[in-house]
Amino acid sequence: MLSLVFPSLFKKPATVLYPFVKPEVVANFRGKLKFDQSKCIGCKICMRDCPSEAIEIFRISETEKIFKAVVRLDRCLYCGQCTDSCPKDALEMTKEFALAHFNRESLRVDI
Amino acid sequence: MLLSLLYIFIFPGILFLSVYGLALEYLDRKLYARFQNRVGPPWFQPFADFMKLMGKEGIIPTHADKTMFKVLPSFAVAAVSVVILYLPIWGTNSLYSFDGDLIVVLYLLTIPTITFFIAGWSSNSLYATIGAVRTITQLFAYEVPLFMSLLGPAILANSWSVSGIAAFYSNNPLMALANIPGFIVAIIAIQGKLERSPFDIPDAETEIVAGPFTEYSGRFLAFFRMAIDIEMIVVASLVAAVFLPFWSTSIGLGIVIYLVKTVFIVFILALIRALMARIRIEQMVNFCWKFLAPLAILQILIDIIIKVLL
Repeated sequence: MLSLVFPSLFKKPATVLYPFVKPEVVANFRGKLKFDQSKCIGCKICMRDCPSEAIEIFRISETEKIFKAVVRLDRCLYCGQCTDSCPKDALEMTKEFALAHFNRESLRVDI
Repeated sequence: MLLSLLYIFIFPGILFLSVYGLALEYLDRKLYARFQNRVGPPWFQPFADFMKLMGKEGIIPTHADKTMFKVLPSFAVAAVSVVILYLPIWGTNSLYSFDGDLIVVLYLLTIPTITFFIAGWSSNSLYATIGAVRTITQLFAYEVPLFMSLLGPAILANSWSVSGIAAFYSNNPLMALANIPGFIVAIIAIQGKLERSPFDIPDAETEIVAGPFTEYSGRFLAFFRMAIDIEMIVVASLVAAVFLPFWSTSIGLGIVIYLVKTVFIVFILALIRALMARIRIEQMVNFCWKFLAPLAILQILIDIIIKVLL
């Protein structure tokens, strides 16, 4: 074990000095949700499948089928179930993870 | 008179011990982190820890012994601070040396461990009691090998004062090669005295919270930690003075050599701490009595034989 420990003294440490250095995330990282309004058909499968009832779909036009999504970032588990379940691929998970806020109400965002 | 006050308060007194103790704690933590591929704390971290602890409220439990609780940290710091008066720092002379001060140094070094025991015992808390009993058991294990390993070089050097031993080995550096088994025993034994891995049984955080210091907080804990830091300087200086025979006539170069020697010993201690896992208390007692003590006796035999031959 000495042959492993002693050379570590001369190598660069494995620590990423966050927040001065931004870490690299993997390709299919599950971060904040992104909603494509043009693809959504309002089936609300994402609302039914969400394990923590984090996403809500509202109809914003009386005449046309246009919907908006509101997600509660504190309830969202970032599990990706809504993204998998959506039949029209209207939801996508981005690489954004720095989502902390000071009060809970500001975590209910439109996407 | 003024010079004595300067020695006691500035160098090598309380100010030097505090600053160098914090510096060695930083070095130890930084080396320990780098051995584990981490970054480690910045240079002012031990000082920041000390100031933080001094600023916090010191809570004394209801059923604890109030007087002992408050007084023991000062005992520990005082006992280890006095030892530096007898250790050679800028060459082979210490401040106040007399024949037999090796015994006084070893006696004074036992006092902090006993204060840790009394601190844990007088805290009247379950975890503290177990930690205190383990501290004393560990003292029983490493103390005899440590004393015997320092006895060997003293016999060969024909002197019972630390400065005398340092002067003898500085004049005959080749004799120091005969003390290598004793050096190994001394390094392992001081790892036990400082209660560091693999001998940090009394402070086994995952098992008994903080051992004897469980109930300590605020400035009492700050002084106990300062006592442990100063203890590190003092035992490293003692081992460096007895086993590592480099010296110099000029004071400046002598101080530089002293710093290099103590940093070298702290490097070895940090390496041992990074390599080993914690062992159980009965494994430690077994190891010290069945392996370290015979090795120390072997060292004494080697030194007696060499002294008789020469």
